[in-house]
Amino acid sequence: MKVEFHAHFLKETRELLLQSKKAKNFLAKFQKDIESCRDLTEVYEKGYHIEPLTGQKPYCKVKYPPFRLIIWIEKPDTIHISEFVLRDSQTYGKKNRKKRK
Amino acid sequence: MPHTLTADNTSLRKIYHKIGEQTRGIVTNRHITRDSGIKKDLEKINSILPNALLIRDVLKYKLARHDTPSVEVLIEILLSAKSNLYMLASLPVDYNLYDTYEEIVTILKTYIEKSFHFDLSLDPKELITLAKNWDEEEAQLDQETIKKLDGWGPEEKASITSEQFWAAINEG
Repeated sequence: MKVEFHAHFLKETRELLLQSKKAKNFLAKFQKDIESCRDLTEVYEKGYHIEPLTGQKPYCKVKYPPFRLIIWIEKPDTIHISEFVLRDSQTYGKKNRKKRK
Repeated sequence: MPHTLTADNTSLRKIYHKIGEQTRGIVTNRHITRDSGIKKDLEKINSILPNALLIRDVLKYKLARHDTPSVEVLIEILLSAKSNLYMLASLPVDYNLYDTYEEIVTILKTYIEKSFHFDLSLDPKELITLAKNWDEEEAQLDQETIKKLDGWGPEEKASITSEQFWAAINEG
């Protein structure tokens, strides 16, 4: 399958990718994994959960915590990446440890 | 046994199959009922069965929909698997159900720590609250994304190739 990026995505994600090596590595791996798949079934088999984003067909959400991706499946052989978020899960533990003291 | 996991649903499928095998095993394993000396133990095992079946059904439902369970569900499964493990540890019966729960706990702990970075030493109530917060934030992010996508015009939707994208990122 082919991977493309929405133009707006570059602007929104540049800062995250420059700051977080983890995020950059994940996005590169995601792209590589998608490109090695023939169809969406193979993508799912690789462990990526693809769920429709309510009311926003053909936009879908890829759940791979702590990462979150929004993709647009225009044609069966192409995925457009629209949004990429690294959820700040570290703060959950930190907040709670403080609370306990 | 140590598990090397990626944060994917293979581990969840594995748990589902394990619970399925073991709970079927208990129901059909008649030799246990023939030994009156372990009747009390059997009662204890039976008391955790609905719990195990519930976990199995939740995972079955979620996986059938190609859906990931919410973090709250995952934490609940971990907590009940942990409590089942403690209970089974006190039973004299030689039964591999203990191994199953030990495996479930290990897999889920690894998955949750790796994916959500939760501090699993917190008390159960706090963990459930953390999980609920995570799920609520996820729903909120969905709403924000939907709002954003609604406002996108052709300019935002225009695509660039992956080569163009990475070249722009690497240029800084």
